[in-house]
Amino acid sequence: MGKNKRTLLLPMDDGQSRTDKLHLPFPSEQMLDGLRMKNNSPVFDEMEALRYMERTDKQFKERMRNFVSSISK
Amino acid sequence: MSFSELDVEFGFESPDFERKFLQRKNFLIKVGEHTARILSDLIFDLHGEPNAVAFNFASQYLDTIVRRYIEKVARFRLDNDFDEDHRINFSKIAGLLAVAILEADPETLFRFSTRAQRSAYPKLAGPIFVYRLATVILQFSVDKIDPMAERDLIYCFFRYPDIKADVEWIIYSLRMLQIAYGEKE
Repeated sequence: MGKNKRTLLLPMDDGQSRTDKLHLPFPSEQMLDGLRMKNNSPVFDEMEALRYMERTDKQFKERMRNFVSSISK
Repeated sequence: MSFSELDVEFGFESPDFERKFLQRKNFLIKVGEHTARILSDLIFDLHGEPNAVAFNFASQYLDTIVRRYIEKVARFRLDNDFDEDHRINFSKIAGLLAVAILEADPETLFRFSTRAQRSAYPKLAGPIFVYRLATVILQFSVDKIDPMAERDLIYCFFRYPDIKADVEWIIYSLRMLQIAYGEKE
């Protein structure tokens, strides 16, 4: 039993020594001044977009037909 | 801030501005003409009225919209510390264009036949144009997008003059739709 207890305590002992290395200091309030909206998707390709427009012409028309029908009820 | 002050701050008289201006204007005209044709076909199919809608590519609002869009991009870049060579991406272009159009009077970008003019279509044309621009820029899988999400987004564009959401929220919403329904996501 005593041996088991010792085993259980060991990771905590290790954890104690890891705490100083892994835990970051609290961020200061001033760090929020650097929070910005950044790019989060690929770069826009206009020609590809126009090809997409031609390719999805019929589907879009059908969608808008359904949309107009849905608000006409 | 006046346009002349903006000219100095954002280089509106530079050759690069001229190139960007024409590029975006031509893009808007192409999507606008496409939207007008789709609305026209739709009105013919549903109501039997031929040639009911045309895109007014000569509208002076078009120049104002493109100029305001470029101004909004410049402000967004300044506010978010974008490097000079760092271009803004899909959802930001779509969001900033949407706001630039909706802040103007998008109805005036389209011409309607007399019968269509007295219907709901003139008020719907702007929001549908902006929605089509968003789908084209973000390349949604049109068949997969949830019809109610589509309807709500068009509603939000329709109500924009009253709601006036911050552009950051619009950009965020469009990015979420791109993740959910984009062909490439």
